Amino acid sequence: MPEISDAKKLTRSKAAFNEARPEVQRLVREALVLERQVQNMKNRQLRGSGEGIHEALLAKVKAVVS
Amino acid sequence: MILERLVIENFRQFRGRQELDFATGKKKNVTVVHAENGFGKTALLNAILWGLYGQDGLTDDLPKPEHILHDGLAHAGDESNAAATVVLSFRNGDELFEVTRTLTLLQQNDDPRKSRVELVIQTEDQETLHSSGRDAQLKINELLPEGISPFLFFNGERIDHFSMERNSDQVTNAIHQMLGLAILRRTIDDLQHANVRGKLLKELEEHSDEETVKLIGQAKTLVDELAETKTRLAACEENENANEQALKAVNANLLANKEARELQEERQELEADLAATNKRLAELTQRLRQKIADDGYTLFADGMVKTGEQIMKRLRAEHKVPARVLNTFIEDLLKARKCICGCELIEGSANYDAVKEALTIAGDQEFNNAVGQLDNAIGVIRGAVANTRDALRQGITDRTELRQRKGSLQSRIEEITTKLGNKDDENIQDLEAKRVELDAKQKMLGREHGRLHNIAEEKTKLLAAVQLQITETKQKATAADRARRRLSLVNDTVETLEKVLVFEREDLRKELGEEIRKHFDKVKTKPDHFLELTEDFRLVLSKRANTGKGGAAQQNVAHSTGERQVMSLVFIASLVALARRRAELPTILKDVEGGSYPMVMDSPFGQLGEEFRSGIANWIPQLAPQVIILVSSTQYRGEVEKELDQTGRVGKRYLLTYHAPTKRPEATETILIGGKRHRHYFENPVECTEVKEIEA
Repeated sequence: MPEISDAKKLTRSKAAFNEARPEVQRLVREALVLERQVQNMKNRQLRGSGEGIHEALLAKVKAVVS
Repeated sequence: MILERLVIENFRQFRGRQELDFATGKKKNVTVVHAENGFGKTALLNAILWGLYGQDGLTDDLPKPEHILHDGLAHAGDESNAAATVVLSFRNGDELFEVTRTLTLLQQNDDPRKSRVELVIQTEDQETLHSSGRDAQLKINELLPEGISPFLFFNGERIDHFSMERNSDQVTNAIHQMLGLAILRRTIDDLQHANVRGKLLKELEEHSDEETVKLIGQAKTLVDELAETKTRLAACEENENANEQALKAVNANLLANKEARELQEERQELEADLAATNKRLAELTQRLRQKIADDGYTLFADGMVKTGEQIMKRLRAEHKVPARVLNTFIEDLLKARKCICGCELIEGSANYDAVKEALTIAGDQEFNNAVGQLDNAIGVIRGAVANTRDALRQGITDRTELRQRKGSLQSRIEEITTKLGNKDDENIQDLEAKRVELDAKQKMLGREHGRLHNIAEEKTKLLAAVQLQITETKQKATAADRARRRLSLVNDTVETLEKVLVFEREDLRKELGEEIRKHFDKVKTKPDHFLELTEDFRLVLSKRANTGKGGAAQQNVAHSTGERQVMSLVFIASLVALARRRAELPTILKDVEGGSYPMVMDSPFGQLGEEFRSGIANWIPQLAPQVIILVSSTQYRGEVEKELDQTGRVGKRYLLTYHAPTKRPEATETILIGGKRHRHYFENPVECTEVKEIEA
């Protein structure tokens, strides 16, 4: 993919992301990191803590707005 | 990801330790494994899959999947030492991975799914990390999700289903999995889950006043109702798909019946035409609605336009528009007590009265502006009247024509249905009866789908409105305020992710469509054929047909199994190529990226017609950063061997030798590869396969 074209193709989603307020951007980033860890699991519990994805996401929301 | 080495020990028909080092070069990226049918190609492909995913990863066409250990060992009865092991080494970026999976005979006899997996990672900083069991499996799945493995490790003779229209869901899933969109969808769903958003709503309820509590109650009810509607919608879609499959099976049976074929073919064409006509009709109706909503008022504005024009005429006649002088200008002169001619304006003087008199003919600026706008609006509306009238007339004429076409198509379909139903053949009558039943069910499910979809949309809108009210509710208590901000954060995040997902999906579909077109152009044998990915993710093979008036139209074409295999290969190659480029791009969100993947293909030339074989052979090395192909002599013969050799991309070559008391009658004892003859069958009391490296 040529670089100019790439930049064009990504603009809309990047713009949508950049338009969001900073808290939303932070939650999006952190939620995706969590989701990435459990995306291929059946029980969807995080490694190490054993916490479920929903509990972890709720904790992230509370951390962003504390 | 690049596969470096595979070590197989006592897995399936491989006895003892067998090793393969794969071609890993940028130019020499192809490994060819030669094996006759039954000599171990499928077992080799499954060794890689078993190494990565255990029992769950095995392909459907592997017979007796519970038999992992070599039969000779399994029957020897020594449970203490016997074990099957696969070691797969691969590189991902700067990290080196080694997966070791082992299954002892004891475990196999108990439960073959209970294999032991270990993973060693050598990091970029030369640090060595060990993990085993669940943690190791999780890491492997992170690197290579099981959902995408069917697109990377596959039997070429069994991939044609990806190109079938009914499998567009699989195509969509593959795109979402490999391009990182699935994680966005999942995140959205998780944030909206009762355990996340639901708990935040409860938290807000606990800290809120009566009015907010009421709104929260409404929101909770809507969340539950929406979830229930979505569940019903999913079930309805599942039923629709199952019913559609049954309908397709009945149609296929009718096509297979000589007595019914001709009429069935005609009916299928008519039904396709009817679907297209219905689609055009719906689009046209929507356009008409929009036109009426936007400009329909102009048709009723005739009286108003005339009145407006009369008013304008009168005002001009009275010299009120345009105003010769503005009242503010006169007032300023009187206030300044000085005329523009320089004379003083003293109250009561003749000069003062003369200037003041001018106020009676002076105009107001706002009035001037308003009249100008009215004049402009009258002109616009008058112009739009004719345009709207013409557009609506044309739309209605087109709609009448489409309705007539729809009616005649329906009549002919009904006629065919009656003819087929009256055929003096019980089989056809039964199929027709079944078809009528399934067709009615499909229509009923379609209506139910539409109804549920509307309910879901309505509830989503209501929920958004209630959530907005909750957000706007003024709360002073800190706890309630925090709870509301958290809820608002989740809602805003979901909204942002939805937007991102829509944009990414649309843009990537276009990119993938381009890749597909580009790849297909490399292998197609008919210049007027082209392969496209439609907006609803269907792979469509079309050709340009001459319309006879110097123009060209696009026509869908039927395809053979071989063509479907080519279409599927093109689809997979395009997906892998796009995933690879996506991995190299700076994506907006970390963790939403593709990846660089190898491809391992069993019998990629299996079902291909002669016309495609050389094109595919020439193109295969470009499919992925690394390509491993498993071929029999009949698949490799002639132009495939010639083309593949000419690419200069084959870096490693192996031969699977078969050792058994007897061989299949059609199998030979030797095989000719690159002009050299190799022995590949050896008479042996114990059946097994061994791996032998030969000159690349």
